[in-house]
Amino acid sequence: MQKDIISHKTKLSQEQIVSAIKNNNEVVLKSLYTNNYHKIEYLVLNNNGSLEQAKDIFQEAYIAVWKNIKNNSFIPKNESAISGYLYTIAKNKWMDYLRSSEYKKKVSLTTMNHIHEKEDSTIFSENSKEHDQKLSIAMKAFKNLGNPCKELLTKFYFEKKSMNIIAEELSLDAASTRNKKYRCMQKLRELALN
Amino acid sequence: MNPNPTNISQKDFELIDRYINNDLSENEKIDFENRLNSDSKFKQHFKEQLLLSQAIEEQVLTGKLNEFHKEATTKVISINNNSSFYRKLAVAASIAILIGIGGFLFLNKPTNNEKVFATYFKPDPGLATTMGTTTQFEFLDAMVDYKQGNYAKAIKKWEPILKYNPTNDSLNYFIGVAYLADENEKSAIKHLIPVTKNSNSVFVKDAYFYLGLAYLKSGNLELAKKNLIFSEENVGKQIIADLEN
Repeated sequence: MQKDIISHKTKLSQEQIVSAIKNNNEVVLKSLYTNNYHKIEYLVLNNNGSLEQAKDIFQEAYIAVWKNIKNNSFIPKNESAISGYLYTIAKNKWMDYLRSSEYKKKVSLTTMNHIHEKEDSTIFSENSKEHDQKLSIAMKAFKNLGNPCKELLTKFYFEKKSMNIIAEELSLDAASTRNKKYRCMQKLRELALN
Repeated sequence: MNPNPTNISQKDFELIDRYINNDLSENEKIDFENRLNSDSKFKQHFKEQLLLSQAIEEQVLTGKLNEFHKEATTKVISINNNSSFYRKLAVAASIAILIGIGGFLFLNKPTNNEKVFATYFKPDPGLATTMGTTTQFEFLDAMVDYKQGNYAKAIKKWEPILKYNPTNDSLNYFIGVAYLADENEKSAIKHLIPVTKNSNSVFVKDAYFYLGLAYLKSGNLELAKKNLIFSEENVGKQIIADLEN
């Protein structure tokens, strides 16, 4: 390599980041993960946690941040605001775990390093318990759907591809693609909501 | 919960999808929201469909987390200043090409240039898309399109960057290969030639290889052979042998 690939632009605008996350842009989602994971790993490992726990806590927090950006309950000013938010949520989650009875059974609280943080920052907008339950049932239902349906629904709902492009990718005509999407969602509806 | 959740017409279903995707015009949107307020069954359908679409997104993302995790916990690569990384990729690219053609070697001999081209042309697998910093976003964003086979889209994103970095070897190389994959060998040749002339570039040999294929596709056998020889790839020799048979 002779020189930097990109020299004329340095940062993504707030709008670009938010829309990239809302559209599940894989580059941005992946970098959000890889750029932030290590701070949490460090925190958890230094506070009586294991690698496995660091991973679980981080992934929970990561999904929570993604959801909150999607439903506009968190509007980041820039990329570092997202990193800070992700860190705070993960940290609070880990604190909650350390305070939980499950953990107290294992170890006396006095042995913990002191990590303290405001408690109001875990935002779970309207995620009521009931909604969460329904959502997790629907997620399982989707997981158990046949591959052709999963593929089509992923392209449309996750990758946000247009129906024309999906039709082309699946070598179907426009009408059968639409019918297929309808039928697949009907199937999912039955599995998830009955 | 609705006792009969499956009872929704395709028309309503598609309308709700368009609303969720923000694809409705202002007037349609107003009609839609009025209907939500007056038609409780429709509202129920809407809520269900929103939940299902959220579930799909979250399940797909959850499925990707292990891959993200693997990348986060293996060595972090930077696209700026790590030329050994490119070398590794270049090697990986050549291996991919070799594996790709392995299966074809014992098949019937192709009868014309197009056929030989089709047999041997496989786009470079591209670069890993971990972002070191935000500066590489645009380059790597296009790389995702490239990897998904959306060559025209990738080119469209890369070309403005090339304007600011006209001599950049990796940009020229990938734009060239993308053009070739997009069946525009003329533009491919234009971008690949400067890479072959840049002796510092780790892409030199691969550029010769694809340049050879581009000439093959455009029917210029002489230049095709010449560049394939310069590529020093065994595959190149194999192609020349095929052409001579």
